[in-house]
This record gives sequence, structure tokens and C-alpha cells, in this order.
Amino acid sequence: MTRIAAPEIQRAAPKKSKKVSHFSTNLFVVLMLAYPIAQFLIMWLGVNINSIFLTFKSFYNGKLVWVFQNPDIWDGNTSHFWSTLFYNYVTLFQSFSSPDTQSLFSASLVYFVISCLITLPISMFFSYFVFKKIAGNSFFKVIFFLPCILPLFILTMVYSLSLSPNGFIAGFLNLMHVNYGAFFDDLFIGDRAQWMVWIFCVWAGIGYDVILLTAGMSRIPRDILESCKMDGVSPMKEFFKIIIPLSWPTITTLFIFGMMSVFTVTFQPFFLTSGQYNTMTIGLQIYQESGGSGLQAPATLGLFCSVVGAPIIVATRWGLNKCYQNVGF
Amino acid sequence: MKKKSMMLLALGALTSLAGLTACGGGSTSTKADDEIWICVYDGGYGTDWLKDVSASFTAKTGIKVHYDADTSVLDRIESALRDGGDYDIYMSHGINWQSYAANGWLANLDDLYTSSVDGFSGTFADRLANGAAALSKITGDDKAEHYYKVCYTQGAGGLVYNVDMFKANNWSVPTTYDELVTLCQTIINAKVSDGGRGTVTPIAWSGKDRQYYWDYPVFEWWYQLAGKDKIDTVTKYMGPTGKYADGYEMYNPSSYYKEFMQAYDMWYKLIATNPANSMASSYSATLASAQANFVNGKSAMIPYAQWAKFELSAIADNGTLPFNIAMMKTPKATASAADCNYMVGFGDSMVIPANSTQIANAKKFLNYMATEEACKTFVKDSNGAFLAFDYTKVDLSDLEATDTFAKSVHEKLSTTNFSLSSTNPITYRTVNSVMPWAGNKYYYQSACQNNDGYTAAKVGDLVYNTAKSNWPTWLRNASLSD
Repeated sequence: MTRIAAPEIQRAAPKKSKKVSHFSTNLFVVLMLAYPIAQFLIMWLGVNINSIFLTFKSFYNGKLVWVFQNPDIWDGNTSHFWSTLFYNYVTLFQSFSSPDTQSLFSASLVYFVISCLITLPISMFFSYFVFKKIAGNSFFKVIFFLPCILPLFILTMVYSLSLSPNGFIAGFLNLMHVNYGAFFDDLFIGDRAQWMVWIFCVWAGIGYDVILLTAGMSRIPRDILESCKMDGVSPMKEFFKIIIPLSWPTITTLFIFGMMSVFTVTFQPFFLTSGQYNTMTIGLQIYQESGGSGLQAPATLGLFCSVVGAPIIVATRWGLNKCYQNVGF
Repeated sequence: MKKKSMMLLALGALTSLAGLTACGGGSTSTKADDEIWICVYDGGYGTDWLKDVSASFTAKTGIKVHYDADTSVLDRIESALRDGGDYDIYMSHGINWQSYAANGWLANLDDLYTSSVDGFSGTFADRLANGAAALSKITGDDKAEHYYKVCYTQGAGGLVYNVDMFKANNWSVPTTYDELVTLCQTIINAKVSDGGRGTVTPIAWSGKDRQYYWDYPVFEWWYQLAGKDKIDTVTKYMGPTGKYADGYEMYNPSSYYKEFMQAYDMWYKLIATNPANSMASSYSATLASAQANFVNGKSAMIPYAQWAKFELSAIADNGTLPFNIAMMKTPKATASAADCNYMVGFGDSMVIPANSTQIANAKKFLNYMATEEACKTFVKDSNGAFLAFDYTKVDLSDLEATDTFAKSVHEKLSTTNFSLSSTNPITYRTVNSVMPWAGNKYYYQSACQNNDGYTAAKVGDLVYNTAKSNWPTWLRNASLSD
């Protein structure tokens, strides 16, 4: 009898253990997912919903209230319903006639050219340079990577101090007895200020792009490259016909990031020119206005940019993904 | 065993996160009944005054005072007021107190304003500097006006000069603009050695970091040329018809803003078209560079405000300036004009959060700050800055006997004071300042770089057009309509 009973007890034990095991696994999954989900709900969904709500609010008696609760805006006349509902959007569209707003958008759009059409191609070239371990590549690695590990504030300070009348470049030119006149006095003033911010963005942006591109290129199987070498493929041909197609997903990602810089370049002009001399960007304007009490204006500008920008970016991504579709390794 | 470890890992991670989150919760719950916490903007006044004022306040009342100086106070004050924070008093510039008060996040200070002050026969409101009370109240939901802040400092700005250098060279402090122009030429002609290979230059200033310091003399010239009534009219932000719709007409350089452009033109002729009056490259110089030039005796004057001595001493050897400094009354625009003082930083605020558990004690501290003793301590410890209280009966004679700067600031504050601070919503609903430089666009630096591009006539048009094109947006964002 005892022989028969023993296996029954043994069979029952795993059943209980399996339940505990399921519970433990589920608890583990729930615990690990709880934080990111809460983070998403609060920091993304909550914030964005709040921002959307803000675009339908205005100030009355010092408080942000729904536009229909503001008697200064809503007079109860149903023919004014839509103009009242979209009060902040109408305000934004009206501001488009202002030269300051036009300058804001044009100054921001320039960063598409800088990021996608200047910084990215240069980065691709230098990444190939680093990837092929051409002489001096370690030096260039440091030059490119340094801006990525320094905080932006320090980087902008180093940049502007280096190019100041008492900076090391002026000092070096003095040593060389080069007469540069008032060149360094005017770099961050007037029309030159824009150029200085753009040059900074190219310099600081290359490092970030190079890091990602070299990582992408390093995944390309050596066999392919060795095969090219045996076939006598020139470095130029290898770059355009092999490296670029095989690194295309990384390039696509960086191109999309570059497009987004139209909306995200914020602190570069803030630290270098305080947004003066036509260097104010959409991101900086939203940042500065968010520091005040009129939060509905930056929220509306932000939502407008998202609505306009998101389809363009998605369409571009779709188009770029179509390229080199059948290339892989 | 492996699963147990993973469970522990997950629980550990969550516990750590919860712990980290709790760090921001503040220490309000653990605060004792007899202590208050103050957060002050870490600016040009230091914290010595807070240390001394707190010590004497504690000695009198038994209430302990803790304080933190923080440059990021403005970044977190809103969430702290809304959700609860560590502090019972905030002191800073740029506090959007009108919005916070309207949302019910600030403690009502009406009883503080009617409370009596130690050693003074009147009320707290009577102790305030002229005009401070009017800037501290807004209309509440009950349609009555209530106080929600106390003005922090009253200020003075203008040209700070090297007293010892002036004395040694028999240079008189100019009292009119013409005398200032002559003085600059005298300094240049004197070719006084700067201790190195160069000669002393009249003025050092920073175009890169502090071009707005030129506002201080320019605003005072504007006030002298336009008069109080015209400036009051302009700062109502309503047009000639008394309506907001054409309020941008207040920036019209041929009518309402004419004198402002005249004041700018005076600066333009003194500095922009006369580079010899400034240190080389001043218009692109950093603040540190301008400070160093003045502290090292390379220039005789520097535009600054009441925090000049505190900041300039900080960069001098041993933390002490090697010479006496003073702030001159801004040389008058015309010989017949009266001296006046633009109240720099008059909009700065001291507020008590409505969710503070120590509102009564915090009010006691603000009340104590109005006493003559605290006012004097502030002047002494901040190296010449003044709280926004009436100093006419505060005896500063012993301090001023040795401190030429504090004495000069006091004398300047004793002239006709004016401020451009306003409680009109257009001034605080639009982040970019609307007055006097429309859109917060400054032209001092640009005018030095490109004289012809930024004459008074051209800058007048720029300011007017900026205001005109942005006016409808500013009005709508402030929910202002006629």
C-alpha cells in the first residue's frame, strides 16, 4: 500500500509547484511591466493629453479655463462656436503673418538641411574612414566622439570661448602675427550668429552620427568586404555600392532624427546666442514660453508642429525603407 | 532558486524606484512646528544676509530658519506650489505670482500687510517702499484685491565708477549727459596708465552677457525726457483710443515712444559711435572680461546694478576690491531734469505657498524683514543692495561712513524712483517682454557692430514694427480684448 501511496503524493506535489510557478512568473512579469507602463501612462499619455487640453484653454481671471468658460472669448453666439473652440489655433495662424514667426519657422527648417544634407553625408564619409581603419582613425575617433560625451552647455562654452577675441584661436593667430582685425568680435552678433550656430550643430552632430554609423558598419560581414577586395573593387565603389546599402537602416534612422531636429534644436541657439539674431527655433520658443504662465501658446505651437511634422516624417521613413529593400546580409 | 532571485531582483528594482521617487517628496512631513524653510534665488545678494537675519529672527522668536540658495528655483517652484514642496517662503525674480495666486497656490497675505512691525508705529504696508504694495495685489474671485506677495528688493542701476581713480585724477562725477561725454574725453586724453602697457578707458561693459545693463541709464533718460505721466500712459498698453486693439501705437517712435528713442540715441552717440569710450571689443565681451577690466583698473566706469559690489568683490583678490566704488546718479538727460532712479528688480517677489504648514511663522519672518534691524543687515551683508522697504528711517550712517557704494545706492534710491513693472496680463502672459524693448529684442550690441543699421530712427521702426506685427497675438494670448 505504501508503495502505491507514495507516487500519488509525488504526483500531487508538482501540480502545486506549477501553480506557484505560474503565479511567480505572472507576478514577475507584472512587476517588471508596472513601471514602464506607469511611466508611459503618466509621462507620455498624460503629458500629451494635458498638452492637447491646454490648446483649448485660455486665461480668465488669472486661471487657465476652457475657452467656453471664458466670457472674454465666448459670447454664447453659436455662430462663433468654431472660432472660439479653436481660439488658440486661430491665434497661432494669425501670428504667421508676423515676420518674427516666419523667421522662427525658416530658422528651424534650416536644421533639416544641416542635419540631413550636410551633417549626415559628412558623417557617412568619416564613418567609412574610421571603419576602414585608415591611418589617423583613432585621432579622428577622439575628435568625433568628444562632443558626444560632453554636456551641451560645456560644449557650447568651449566653442564660443575658443572663438572669442581672447580665445585660443585668436591667441594662436596673434602668435603667428596674423592680422584678423575685428573678425572674432562679430562672430556671434548679427548675420554671422546664425552661421556660428549652424557650424556648431554640424560639428557637434557629426560625432553622434559617426558613433551610430560605425556601429552599423561594423555589423557588415567581413566576408563581403574581403570578396570585394579580391574582385578589385575600389574604395569609392565599395562605399557607395556595398557600405551604404548595407548600412541603410542606420542611415534611415539618422535621416529621420535629422528631420526631427527641425523641432528639437533648442539649447544650441539658447546657449550660443540666446535665440537672438534670427536664431530662435521652434523648440527654443516652446521651451522659453513654457517657462511663463501662458502655457496654451506653446502647447498649440507644439501640437501644430506634431500634426504637420508627423505625417511628413512617417512618409519619408516609408519612402526611405523602400530603398535597398532586397539588400541584406 | 533562479526564479526567486529574479523575483527579488524585480522587487528590489521597484523598491529602489519607489525610494528614488520619494526623494522628491520633500521634508514637509518631518518639519517641526517651530521651523521654516526658505528657498532663495542664488543671485547677486549672497546668503550672508539670510544667515544673519535668520539668526536674529530665531533669537527673538525661537523659530528656526533653514535656507537653501538655488539657481533652479524657477524651474521647480510651480510644481512645488501646486503639489507641495519643502519650502515655506520663496524669494526670487521672475515668479509668476499672479497665476499662482489665481490658482490658489499662494497664501493670502492681507493680514501680514496690516500687521504691526517691531520698532515701527505703522503697519507692515507702511514700511514698504513707495509703490511696492500696489504691485503685490490682484483681484480675487470675490472681486476684492488681496495681497499675495511681498516685493523683495528695490534696486538701482547705472554707472558704477572707481572712486579712488576719480579722486587721484581730479575727475568730477558728471551730473549731466554733456558732462559725461566730456568726462569720457577727459579720461581718454589723460592717458592714465592702466598698470600695464595700456591706458585707462572710460567704460568697460559686456555686450555678450549683459548688454541690458545699459537699460538702467537709458530708462532713466527716457523718464527724464518723457516725464512720469507719459510713461504711465505708455505702460497701460492701451492705444490712443483707450483700447487694447491699437495698443501697439504706444511704441510709435514719432509720438508715444519718441523720448525712448531719444534716450537710446543718447546712448548711441556715447557708446555705439564712439568706440574709444569703451574697452576694445566690449560689445562682444563676456561679463567676466568686463568685470576683470574694471577690477584691474583698466577702465574707470562700468554699467551695473546694486549687486555690483558683491559680484565685483567676488572676482577680486581675497574677495575685496582694491579700491572704493560708487554708483553715480545717472547724468541727467538735460540740465533742468530732476534726478531719478529706475528700480531694478522691483518686480522680484517673496511668496508663501498656500500648502505650507508654517504659513503663520513664514509671515512672521517676512514681517521681521521689514524691521530696521533686518533692513540694515541686508544692506551690509549684500554689499549695498536694499530690500523693498522704506529706508528713510533706517540709520545706515555707520555703514555708509566706510562703504561708498552702499551710500551711493542709498542716495540714488532717495531720488524719484520709478518702475516699469506692471500687473497688466500682457506683461506676464507673454514670456517675451513687451516693454520697453518689444519682443525682448535688444539693439545695443548690434548698434556697436553696425552703426548705420541701428540708428535711433531705424531702431524706432524696428521696435514699432515688432510690436505692431505681434500685438494681436500678445493680446489674444493674454485674453485681452476691448
